[in-house]
Amino acid sequence: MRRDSSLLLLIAAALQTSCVTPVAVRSLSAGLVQTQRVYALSLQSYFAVVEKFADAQVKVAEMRIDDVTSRMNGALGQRATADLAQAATPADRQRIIDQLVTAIASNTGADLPLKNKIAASVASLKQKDQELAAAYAVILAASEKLDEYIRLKKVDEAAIDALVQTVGVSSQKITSIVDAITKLSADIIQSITQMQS
Amino acid sequence: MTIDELYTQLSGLSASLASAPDGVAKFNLQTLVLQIEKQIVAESFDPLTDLAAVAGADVQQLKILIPQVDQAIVTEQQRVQLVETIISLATGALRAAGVALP
Repeated sequence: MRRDSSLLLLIAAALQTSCVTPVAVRSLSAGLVQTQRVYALSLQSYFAVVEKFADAQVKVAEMRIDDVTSRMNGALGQRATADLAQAATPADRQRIIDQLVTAIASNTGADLPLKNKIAASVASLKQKDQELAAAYAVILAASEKLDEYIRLKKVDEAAIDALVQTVGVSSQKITSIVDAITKLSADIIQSITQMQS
Repeated sequence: MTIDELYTQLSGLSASLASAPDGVAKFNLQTLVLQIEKQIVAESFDPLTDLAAVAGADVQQLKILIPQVDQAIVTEQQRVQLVETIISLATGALRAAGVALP
């Protein structure tokens, strides 16, 4: 009986001096990690949709540029046809044809820098998406690492567990007891403070 | 005047000359309007280039700290193992000494 009392006293002392991670802290940590994992997936889906939209807009833009170029080339052709009708010599006709070929080549060639500029803009978007996703992956990894540490069995918990085994009290109950003691201590301190003031 | 406003004015001018006799000036104006149209299409993507200047979160410090937490976890596990061993030895010693434990 006296030995049991000593053990209980020892456990009580351990409970009051130890710092078992409260259940609320563990729950918040686990919840935070879970939320961040889901958010990372949302982020990836969001980036994928935006990039798909951007790719579609690139196609539309290229089609519009091609269409405008086609209209310009058509106008050049019409002007050359009108000039050819008035050409007096074969040399004049050849000169008009050469000018048409050069103008069309120049007009069409001018599209490439525009298309490259569009492609570079969308590449910039995708690059930024990758940077954001990579940064968030590191943030998530840091949260997971912290959670791993929070869930880790600490020395004080190990000591309590080992002591508790000798009297047959569950460790979950011990954690609850610690929480209750912490709350009780806070209440007592508050009451004392109120009495003093 | 923005390029959009310029385009609107020039395309309006070009449209007003639709019934005018064909000539070099009319042709050049039509060509200019079409060239501006292509520029407007291309420049509609320009805001995306501003993304390069958008600052992302600096996670370099996190990358450095994560391995340190790893080390802290290993250290804590070793300490737990040590405590458990000590208590196990103590329990065994008590039992060997004839102390009745549950």
